[in-house]
Amino acid sequence: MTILRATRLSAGYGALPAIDAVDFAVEPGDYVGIVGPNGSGKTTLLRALLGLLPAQAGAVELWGTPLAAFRDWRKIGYLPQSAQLPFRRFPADVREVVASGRLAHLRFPKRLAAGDRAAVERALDLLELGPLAHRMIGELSGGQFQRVCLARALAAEPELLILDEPTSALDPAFRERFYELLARLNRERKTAVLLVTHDSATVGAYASRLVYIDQKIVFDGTFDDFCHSPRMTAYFGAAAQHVLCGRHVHAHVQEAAP
Amino acid sequence: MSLFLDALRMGFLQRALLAGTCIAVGCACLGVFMVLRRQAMIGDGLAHFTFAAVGLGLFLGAAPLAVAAPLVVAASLLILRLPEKTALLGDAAIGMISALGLAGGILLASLGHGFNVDLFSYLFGDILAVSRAEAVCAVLASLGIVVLVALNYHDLFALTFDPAHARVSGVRPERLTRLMAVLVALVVVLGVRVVGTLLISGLLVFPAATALQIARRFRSALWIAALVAAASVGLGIALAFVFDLPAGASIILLNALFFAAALLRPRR
Repeated sequence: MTILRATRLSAGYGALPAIDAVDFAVEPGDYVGIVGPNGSGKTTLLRALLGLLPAQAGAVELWGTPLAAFRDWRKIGYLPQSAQLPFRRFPADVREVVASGRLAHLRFPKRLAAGDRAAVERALDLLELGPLAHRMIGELSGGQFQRVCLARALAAEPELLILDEPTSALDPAFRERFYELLARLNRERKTAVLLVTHDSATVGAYASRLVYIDQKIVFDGTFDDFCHSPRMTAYFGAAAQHVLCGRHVHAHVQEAAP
Repeated sequence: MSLFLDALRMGFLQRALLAGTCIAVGCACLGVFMVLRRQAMIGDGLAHFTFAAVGLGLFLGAAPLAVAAPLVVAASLLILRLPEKTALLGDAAIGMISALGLAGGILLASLGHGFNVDLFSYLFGDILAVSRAEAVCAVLASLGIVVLVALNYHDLFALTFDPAHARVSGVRPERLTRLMAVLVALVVVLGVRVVGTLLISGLLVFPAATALQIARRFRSALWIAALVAAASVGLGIALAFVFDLPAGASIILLNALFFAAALLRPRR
């Protein structure tokens, strides 16, 4: 069954839609990277897909259920773009915040069971947060906090991970390990991944699909096709396409080589 | 102090302690969420509106708190609704409702010359005059708040920490926020008897602010806020009784002392 389907979806913050009549689907096992310039509607698309922003037109279905009637939120793990450091004295430690990722799994009277606690520990381990588990959340660096929010999304052990710029605050070494972790979850647990980023070259190396959006979907296919498509060369120009595909680095290295 | 212990046998003091503690604990629990969500001043705005609502009750010759409760609940929901409808920022709506309440209260006070003394007792509080019915309402309101917070603890934590994530976890933020607004309105109305409309926001803010200086876990913040609130009411009423001080002011000043102690305590 298709996990997520948007049909002619338009959404935005004023009269002009930030995304316009977008058709888009995520199938089981997909790993989709969404890229595009600033203001192209990447975050708007994710927010509209999740009902955080009302659609101006079109429809969204999650696992075949219209968004308004969808209740099975435990199937989704989400990292918002706006995940900002809370104020310094927010009374919660890292483990407590990660545990809030299990919220959709809890049933009345909403107590964390042993299975929930085990999932929280697994998420802490995956994001290498064990040593920080008792640290107060407001005492973390931006990168550490982003890892906590990622762990919270993973703690749900979801069928679909929706991540909005998940690596913006991570150092390069951890960023690479994180992309490898996502690829492993996608491969071994069949977790579908929908990820917004500016880093098209890196996500392209891992994702099974790359979607380039600029109000409308400009491209939807493999990274390889994206980098070799004459249509994309005509759309961006060869130089910009090289940058998007991460080849400018290699070109400079080759030019500098004796 | 033996004078106070002897006086504890008197019904009015028992009612004062019971109602005061219950209202303070209810305010403290709600206050933790309001302070963390940067909505602490809602209490202040609603307190000012309560002034007008109580004035209307006195003007009409009806039970002031019974008239005030639905009006203040409506004002609380309006504070939430106004920013959505008018693109005003949240604190502008609070300021408007607050000014509206004060203006209405002053107008009614000038129109109804006969009830000014009664109205001023609501302005500054009169905890020793709490009736049996008011004490019962305070106990019920406090119990309701504690039960609702306990049942919705994880939802409230998620909503307070990250509303977008909470929504994608199945929480309905609007519903929960409206529920909190209604509860805050009710404790503010009931609390004006304890410390008065001028000071009731102190019961919402001070215990929460003190708890946030100490607590490392969310649940502990709620417990500490409730304990600080209860202690300040108990001690405040005792001091007021023994030294013939205004009870509301004593309770709030003790809260300020607890906050200062939490702020100045040695940290790990």
